[in-house]
Amino acid sequence: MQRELNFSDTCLATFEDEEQELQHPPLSHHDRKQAKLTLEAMLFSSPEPVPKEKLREILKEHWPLKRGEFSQILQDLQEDYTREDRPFQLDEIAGGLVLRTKEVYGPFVEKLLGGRRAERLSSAAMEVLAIIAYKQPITRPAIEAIRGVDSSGVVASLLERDLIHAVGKLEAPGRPSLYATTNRFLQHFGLKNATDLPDIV
Amino acid sequence: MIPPSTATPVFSLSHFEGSLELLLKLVHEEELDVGDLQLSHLMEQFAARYKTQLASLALEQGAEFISMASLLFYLKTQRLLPPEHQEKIEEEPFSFLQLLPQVADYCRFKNLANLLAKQEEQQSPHFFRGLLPSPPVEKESSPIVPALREVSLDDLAQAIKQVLAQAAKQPKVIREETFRVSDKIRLIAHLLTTTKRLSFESLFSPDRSKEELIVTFLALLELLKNHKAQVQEDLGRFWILPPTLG
Repeated sequence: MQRELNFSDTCLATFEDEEQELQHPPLSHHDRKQAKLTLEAMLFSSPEPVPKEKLREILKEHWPLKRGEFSQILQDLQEDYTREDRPFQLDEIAGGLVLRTKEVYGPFVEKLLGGRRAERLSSAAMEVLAIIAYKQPITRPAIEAIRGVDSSGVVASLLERDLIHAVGKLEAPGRPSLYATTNRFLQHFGLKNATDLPDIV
Repeated sequence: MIPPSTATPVFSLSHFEGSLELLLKLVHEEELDVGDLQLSHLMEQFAARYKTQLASLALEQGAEFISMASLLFYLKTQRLLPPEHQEKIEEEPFSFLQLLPQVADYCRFKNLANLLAKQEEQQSPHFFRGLLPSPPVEKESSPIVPALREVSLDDLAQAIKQVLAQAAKQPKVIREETFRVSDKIRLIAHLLTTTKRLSFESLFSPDRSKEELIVTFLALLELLKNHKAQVQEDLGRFWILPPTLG
């Protein structure tokens, strides 16, 4: 089917879903449980947050999920983890869903993973990162104008850690690179998306 | 407007109460007349605080205070000077005041950096598979061929040590000449385009000065590191070759 504007996409999706709602009854208790467990398996295996849509599509190949049912299954899973005192929680960060260990197990996992939870950032790195996060995209000279000190070293190390990346060049003398935060930045700080930053009052 | 954090000192003057950043901001926006401010009180309060909190007052805060207070003093002196004088220094305050928004900006970001750090702190006990950074992605698409094949770094090191020892023994003409690694890199790279392979001896001969030998060796290592050259052993000698692709 031709894909036109986004607007008509959502309209179409809504229509399709409504069609499904009419055609299929709600999932049986057994199916729902299976879908939930399948979801859990997928989340467990993924090395990084998975967009909700992707999970939903894979599940839909097997179960006729209605729109609300997917969210319901998610919620069920989340509640399981709390109710049964499981060691992980289902979080939404970096534009996707991910299983993360609960706080109390932190020290053990940290030790297991070699005692470094991805080295903490220096205060200079935090400053540059804060500037980029709130002003992105921004060039290095602009960063330095704010900080008043040379920042090339910090920018280079943030690039290497994949916390920022170049997203283009500014049309100005020297054509300096413009920097923005990466998905890994969101993962590191446990943020949902780039607008989920602590508020600038 | 940033509400002062617990770490930011609050000052209390007859017309104002708040942090120094806020004070500066209000002066800049002309909400407050710098002429009304009694800066001596400001200094007194800072000195008093400094005495009581000597240990906890961070160096950073002291420096911040000094830079902001001196700016305030400057503005006040400007105000107090007779009008004729003001004209002369008209250009200067302009650039100073232009700094103000930047100072305010910087203060803002320092606060944000603290918030980010707190966020990081909060998130740190949570782990998910793949959280730790994977090794940096290799930018070059060409497959990596080991630059040191059959030849170990130790062997190379031995070889250069020998040449250096020999070079030390030979009498030399003392010349004022500096050798640059970048030049040698270019030289070796160029030589490698003209010939299939370079013998180690051709690059490292004992009649060169120690300095030149060392610089050349560094250049070779740099080329090896970037896979722009490789070293092989053949017939008991070392050879430097252009890199093989694939």
